[in-house]
Amino acid sequence: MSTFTAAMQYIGDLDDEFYDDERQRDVWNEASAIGFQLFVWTLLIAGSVLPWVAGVTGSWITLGVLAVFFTVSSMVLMYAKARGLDMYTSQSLARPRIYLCTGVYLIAAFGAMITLASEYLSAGGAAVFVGMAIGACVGVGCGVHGLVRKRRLDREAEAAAEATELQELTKEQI
Amino acid sequence: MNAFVKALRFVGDLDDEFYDDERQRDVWNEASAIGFQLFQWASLVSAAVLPWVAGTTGAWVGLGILVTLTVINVLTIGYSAARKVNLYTASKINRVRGLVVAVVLIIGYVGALIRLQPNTFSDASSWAGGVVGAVVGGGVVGLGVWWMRRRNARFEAEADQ
Repeated sequence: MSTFTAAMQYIGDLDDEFYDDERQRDVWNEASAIGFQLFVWTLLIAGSVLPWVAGVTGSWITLGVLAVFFTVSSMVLMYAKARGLDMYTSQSLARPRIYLCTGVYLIAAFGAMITLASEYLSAGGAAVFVGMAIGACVGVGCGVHGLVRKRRLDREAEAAAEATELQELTKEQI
Repeated sequence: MNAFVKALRFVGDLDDEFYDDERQRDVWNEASAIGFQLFQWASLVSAAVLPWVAGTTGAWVGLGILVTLTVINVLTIGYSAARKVNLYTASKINRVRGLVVAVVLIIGYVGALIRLQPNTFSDASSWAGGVVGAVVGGGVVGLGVWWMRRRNARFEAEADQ
């Protein structure tokens, strides 16, 4: 078990004796999955509303909220990946829920950026533009990397499935 | 299945075909349990720190975080109870982890109150109000403990049958 997996299991308290009972473990993990989604949606909705109702302060809070959301979500996805489950390939990404989640995330991010840019640019600073340009480049880079990676994983999964099928056919012939 | 359970299953997207595969379901729920704890700790630590580093605004944000945290916890524990797993009877509350959570939670609430009402606390009449509030608050906690004990006893009796 890697240090990352061990650390995550410690944070999740997964080695507690409570988890020895299989049904308790199953029900509580399912409840936690709901709790996790509740946190995700609360953060996203709060993040998308705050820049419009609380101005500059709300925008800074939104940036903090999105940073927490992004960090925790990444760690969860990495843990699932470490346990052999890639969420990018094992579920359908073209779903209304995913579109909605992405839409709310973008509203939050753009709301905060527009509010902060209009505040600090009116004071005569160009640093926000530079920051936005760098951020956009990093964002595009991450997006392209994600797409390339997904295609590679899809190809690998397809190749693995074909190899398994071929192996089974060979066994049958023998 | 009642409306509460149905609504939470919808929020958790538990009826998606992704969950048809038992291993996928198990791993993702476990990962989500870790994510849930990560969000909890991030919320608790933020709420404890914000009143001290971000003044009045931080205190209000801290209070908002604590209220949100409480609501989500109640809903999650409620779902678990609706599925017949009572967290209060099934797990040990008196643990180092539970103690740390309680301390960080208290730091958050006390920090927010101190930051938001420094002038009121120096007023004698507000101390009288504070005493009345403490008595009422203590009563509410007492009622809560009594209700939880009764509910736990009922759960255990049902489990024994």
